Amino acid sequence: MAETERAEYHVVVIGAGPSGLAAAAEAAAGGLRVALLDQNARVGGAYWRHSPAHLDDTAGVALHHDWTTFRRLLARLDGVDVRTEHTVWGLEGLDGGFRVRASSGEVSRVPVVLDTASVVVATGTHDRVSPFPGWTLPGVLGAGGGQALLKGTLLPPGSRVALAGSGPLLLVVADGLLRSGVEVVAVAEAGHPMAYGLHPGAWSGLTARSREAVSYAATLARHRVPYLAGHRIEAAHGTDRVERVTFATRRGRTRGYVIDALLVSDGFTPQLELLLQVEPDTRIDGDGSLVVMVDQQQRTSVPGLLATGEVTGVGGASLALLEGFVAGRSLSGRSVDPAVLRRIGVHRRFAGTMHAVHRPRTEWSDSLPDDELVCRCEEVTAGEVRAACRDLGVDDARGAKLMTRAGMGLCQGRVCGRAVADLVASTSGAGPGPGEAARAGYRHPAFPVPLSVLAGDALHGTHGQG
Amino acid sequence: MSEDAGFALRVDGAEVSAYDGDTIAAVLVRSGRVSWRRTRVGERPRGLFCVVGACQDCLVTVDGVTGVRACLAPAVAGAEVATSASSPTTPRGSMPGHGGARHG
Repeated sequence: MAETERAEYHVVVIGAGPSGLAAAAEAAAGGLRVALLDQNARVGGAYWRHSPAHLDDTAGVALHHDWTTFRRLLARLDGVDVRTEHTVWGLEGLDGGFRVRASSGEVSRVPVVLDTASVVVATGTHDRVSPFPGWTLPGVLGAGGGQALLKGTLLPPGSRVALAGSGPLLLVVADGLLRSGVEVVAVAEAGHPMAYGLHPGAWSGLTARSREAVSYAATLARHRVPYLAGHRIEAAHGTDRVERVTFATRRGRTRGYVIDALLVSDGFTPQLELLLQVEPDTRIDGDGSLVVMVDQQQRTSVPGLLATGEVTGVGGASLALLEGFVAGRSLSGRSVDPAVLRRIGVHRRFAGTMHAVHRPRTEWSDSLPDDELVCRCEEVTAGEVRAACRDLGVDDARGAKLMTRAGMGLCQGRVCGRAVADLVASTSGAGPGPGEAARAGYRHPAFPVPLSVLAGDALHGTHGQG
Repeated sequence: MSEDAGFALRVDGAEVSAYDGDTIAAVLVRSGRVSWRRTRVGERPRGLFCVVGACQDCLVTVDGVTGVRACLAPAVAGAEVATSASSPTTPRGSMPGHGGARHG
């Protein structure tokens, strides 16, 4: 059994995306001893995911935004203990601080215990994908996931790709695929983006952002990619992999495409699992996500616990970067320019508009066939969850989990938590809040860890520096 | 730059090339695979889904260690990667809190 590794810091930052990088760099610049942890092999998060072979290569750089910002942040990590390939699975309060438990190395799995005065949680999001017929077929990926594959390796997820769901990410990913020479057959947006016109003030102060949106639209037009507003996924078809997708309008008009990959995003799921272990105050955001509440210095209701980026409300990389900057400054006792705080306000307002325009699909829970899976890990069908509601009186996600094992598998409800809650609500009529879904999905440890890591921790964990 | 950084590892016994910075998932995708595991109950094929370490769909065995997330694990020269594309896997066996059988 690998021996537990231990260390102490002033600040442990969890997640090395834009906000985690900014927080770590600022805190270190303020003289603090800082560790920056990420489960990936390289820093950058999903936004700046890259292959080292492509760090200076034009094909790689062309897929990225704000690449110079990333390079500048990298140059400021000299004083930071950067710990990549660290999967953090435990966070607990200590007297005057926190204990962070991680597993180092996806294969070697060395137990790591870090004690720290403060923690910044910057764990970001993953794609939300609401179930539809055929959604578990290989070749159906989260849209952000497909983008991660492309950015990280320059490998496209397929050669004939359709994108579907709702939100600006679909356009960003389509743009990246087209630039990489991939055929994009269609982008199906469930919402009606013309609704942005109902919120004219939202774009003010965000000229870079609106320029970006225009450039994505132009790329789609240049490649003659159909942009299907008001279309949802009817079904993905295939036997051992996705071969075709059909989209439908609310009025039942359908379109079909032959594909070898379908990238889906119904918004995002902020990764709150670690935060919930120390119970800070939370709220439900405009997109229905459970998020953590923070003050203007990114502090949660738990002293010493800060949160930045998407876990405080999905709002994109620019906002995340600013929040990380503020967290790093406030931890090291330095002031923040009020202009930065105003800028955060501008981004937050825009995020609110985005949530209103791209409401996630909800009609799926009534139309999903009984034999389709809701929970991928435990292979629980919609019919089993509905039967539990009807026959066993289940009326919340927790009950569904106990009775059907939905959400009890390896992903710990990360993928299906919200979907199960929606399905239970629509079947039982009892309607739990969406926050309930995230809580039902949460369980200690925050990631599956092998018994050797837990055992190593139990043997050495409570006896000081080993 | 990437062309000369290649190295070899084995997937299900066959030698394949990988490049600096590759994850194991990248190696599998480049080899033309779209799925490399089957589920325990329905024997459904699975490959990449979230690609960010959350969904646990893409699990492989590396040097005898089960339940490795292919989307996160870096490809390492000489590694022995085993997929289970043809037979169902029971990855939960090595995990805490997964002791019981589903229908037990």
